[in-house]
Amino acid sequence: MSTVNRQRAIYEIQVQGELDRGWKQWFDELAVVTTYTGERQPTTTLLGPVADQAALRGILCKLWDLNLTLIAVHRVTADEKEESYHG
Amino acid sequence: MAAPILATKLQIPPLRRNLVARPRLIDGLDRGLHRKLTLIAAPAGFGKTTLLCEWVQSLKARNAPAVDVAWLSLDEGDNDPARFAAYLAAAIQAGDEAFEPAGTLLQQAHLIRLINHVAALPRTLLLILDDYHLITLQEIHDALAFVVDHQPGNLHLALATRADPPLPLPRLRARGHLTELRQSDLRFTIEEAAAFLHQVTRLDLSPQDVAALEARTEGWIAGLQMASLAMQAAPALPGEEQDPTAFIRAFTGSHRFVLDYLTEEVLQRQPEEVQHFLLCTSILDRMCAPLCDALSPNLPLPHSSTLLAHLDHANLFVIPLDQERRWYRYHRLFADLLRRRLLQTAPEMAPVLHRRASLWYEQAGLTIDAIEHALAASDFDRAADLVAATAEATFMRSEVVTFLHWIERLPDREVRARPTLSFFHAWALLMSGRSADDVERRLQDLAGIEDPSQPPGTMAGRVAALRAYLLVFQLDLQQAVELCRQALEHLPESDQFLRSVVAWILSLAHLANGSLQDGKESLDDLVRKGQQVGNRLITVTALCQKARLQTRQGRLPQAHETYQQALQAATDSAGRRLPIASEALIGLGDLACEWNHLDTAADHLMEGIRLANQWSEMASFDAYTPLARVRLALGDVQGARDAIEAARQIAHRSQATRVDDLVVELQQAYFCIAQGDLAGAMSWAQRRGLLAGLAPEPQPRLDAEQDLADAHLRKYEQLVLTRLLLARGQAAQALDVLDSLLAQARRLERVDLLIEIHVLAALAHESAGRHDRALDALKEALLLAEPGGHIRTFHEARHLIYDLRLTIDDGKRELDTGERARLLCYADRLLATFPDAPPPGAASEQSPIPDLQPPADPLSNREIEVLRLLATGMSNPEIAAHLFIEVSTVRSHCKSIYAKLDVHNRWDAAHRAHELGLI
Repeated sequence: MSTVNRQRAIYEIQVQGELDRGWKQWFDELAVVTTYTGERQPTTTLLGPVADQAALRGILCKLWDLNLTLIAVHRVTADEKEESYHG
Repeated sequence: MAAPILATKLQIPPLRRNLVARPRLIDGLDRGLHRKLTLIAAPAGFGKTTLLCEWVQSLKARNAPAVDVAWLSLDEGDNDPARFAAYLAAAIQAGDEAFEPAGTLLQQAHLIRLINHVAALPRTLLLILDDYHLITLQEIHDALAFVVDHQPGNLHLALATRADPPLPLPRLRARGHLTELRQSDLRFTIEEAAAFLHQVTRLDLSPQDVAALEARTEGWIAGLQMASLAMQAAPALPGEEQDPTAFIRAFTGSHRFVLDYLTEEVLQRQPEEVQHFLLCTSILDRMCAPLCDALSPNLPLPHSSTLLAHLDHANLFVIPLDQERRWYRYHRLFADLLRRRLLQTAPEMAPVLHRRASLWYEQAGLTIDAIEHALAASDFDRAADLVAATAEATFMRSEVVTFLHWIERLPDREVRARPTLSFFHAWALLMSGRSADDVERRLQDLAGIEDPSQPPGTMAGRVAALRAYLLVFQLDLQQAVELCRQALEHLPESDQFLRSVVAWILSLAHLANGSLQDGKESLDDLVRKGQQVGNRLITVTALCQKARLQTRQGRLPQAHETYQQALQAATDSAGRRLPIASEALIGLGDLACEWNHLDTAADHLMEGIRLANQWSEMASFDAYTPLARVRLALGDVQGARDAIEAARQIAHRSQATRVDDLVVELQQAYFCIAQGDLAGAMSWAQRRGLLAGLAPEPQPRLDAEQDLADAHLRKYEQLVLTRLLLARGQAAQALDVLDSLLAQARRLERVDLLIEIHVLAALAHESAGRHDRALDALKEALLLAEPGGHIRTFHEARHLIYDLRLTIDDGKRELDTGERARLLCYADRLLATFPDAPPPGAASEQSPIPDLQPPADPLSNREIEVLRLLATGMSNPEIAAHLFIEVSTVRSHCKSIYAKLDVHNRWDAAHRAHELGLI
């Protein structure tokens, strides 16, 4: 019998500039939302569940590879334990 | 694809057209030449590589200062220490032909050789590492940090990277060793942007236009490049004039991610077919015209070659990979963008394209790429077929890790549907030390199944063979032999590969059983068969078996020769060592240790471990015992402990058998005794029921597996037990154990064990005060060991060798002339290796204790270091290795030490130093 803990935290990642919704697929189905704050440059927020730290690192690397300026990385909720059982 | 890419990694990339000269940056780089390190750190698309190329060309043009350039373009695959070291050496050799890469390891010893070589060069060497951010292996960072720490004045290191490397940058900065060019330095200034745009677009842009573009892109060169491409392209709508100002206004007015916006602009303005081409080929890691054609079969031939040439010429996204311009790849940034566009605009195309690529690669015979693309297409059926087809070949090259990696990405049902695949999977699991249960489960899947693609009975034979292999691991040799017989009955004659595997298992079983002659014959047979069938795995393994056999018979030079043959067989036609070479290297390391070439031994063993890890973790296990002993001999106690711990981890993770755990405990006990921790060794002896044998008590009944493990390991355990008893001063008991071992070793014809037994017996007699018997035993050992030239085994008895030599010389031993001469010669060699053995009676001849005054001339720190090591009994070469200095340097230190301490040999020096409280 096995108990599987699915720890998927929700992360919010902010970058400078505007990425349209079409980027959703590239970033593993995270929601992509751009915020316009008047005079200053808009920021784009990627929001959604991230499987684990390695996956988070992967997303950050993709952003980095594209030379996007990282503003903030924020964990919205901690582990979301789902128990799935049987054997 | 090895050859062309190999050379290109070392080539300085050709200069691009339309280059904006950046004299201010070049000046900065020039001035930095006299410092240690130049760091160019900026994100992608800031022209780092271009700048370095420009710099190199400028240096060559001027030829002053006198600088040789070594260039290395790094990629993810270089995160392998052996590969990195090999490329590093090759790069330096390309810069200076005189350099002979002695080793291909990141060992400090080799780095030192490298550093010394460069230091001796008349000119400055500029070593450039491009794309350093791709290196993630800590070992490589450590090696580089070491080089920087010991950097000679005429070596200059330049790194181009997207992220700051984990080197001690703050320290280098503080000491003025570092020149940095960062994003703010590399971005185009307005002047440079203007020059760039004018040169490339030939458009008449107003200063405001230029300023707007520069501001929007923030001087990002890649951004400006894209903007210029967009502006140059045909107008989006017919009838429109090229209107850069309108474009710029629209561009700067948008907040969209620069590259996203521009890529779309550029793409939109390309002809339909170019757009189509770019998107289709975006899925490829590298491309050539025929492959591109295959992806888009509707385009007329030879279209792709024209397109690729056009893209190359227009500077649009592609980078040529070789001189002939046959292979290209996309610039990283654009590959990502193109792939994203593909996902966005036509997601259903991706799997189709991958599938086509897979088909092309399969036909081109590039199976690995074919498999990767099939997996990317999620076409598991096809991928599984490909993996099954290549399974045997992959195994023959001992690339088990690669194979497992593929299997793990296939759904279980695809594996189970293919008996061949299931079988090889089971085998791969076994070789990777997975639990016997996992292997068993796979084998159960195969019970009673026939593989339709093979002659009948094949599967039954294969399963029997694999089970036999498993049993050998668990030392159930009789059963193993029985299963081998069954396997041979069922396997068809045509299945050369498996039949040779079975033959190998049989020879393993014979050897372990002690039937040496049978073993030897089947081995020679195997080597022949292996060579015939081109099965490296079998050839190499059989040769290594043979070499082990020769080692056991004390025939060390022959064993060395055989291991060399095995190493040869494990090297492919390109000169690369296959993972299977690890077994030969471990054997060579073992021999080197016995011959007291401790440095070489460590090198061989380390390389063996690295290669083995590419194949099967279990394969590296055998390296750790000799490695621990080598390190102990070098005085590296922590290193020895680390090696034992590493072995323990592997044994722990491998659940196929308990034997390896016992081997680790054995090694641990040996280590304890060497360190004086007799209590630790005692508890081990008790646990293993070794002490019970000394008192006449009946042994408790053990389970079957334990029985067999006991039988096999017992003799080694008893040797260690002997050492324990000696350390505790129980010489009589030690001799009892040795007597029973003697009979066994003679029966098994184990010359290696006999030598050790006689040496230990000598020590036992000595400790019991029977000097003469001790020398007798030592003589026996020498006689047996002389042909092989054993050295290390005599280390503990070195103080007796001098005495023995005297008696041989005096004719007091019963030897004929030939034996006498040989033994004298051998004894002399041993004495030369262990010079610190004090002459007998020296104690009584010692001069009276001098005044205990500190020396008038105090010892330097270095001399005290050397003195400390002298006192631990290390020889000069050992000290030299430990301190990373030349042996001649050690000798001159010793001379100076002796003079200052007013002594004449190291024995007295250590004694004096203790007295004076110097150490």
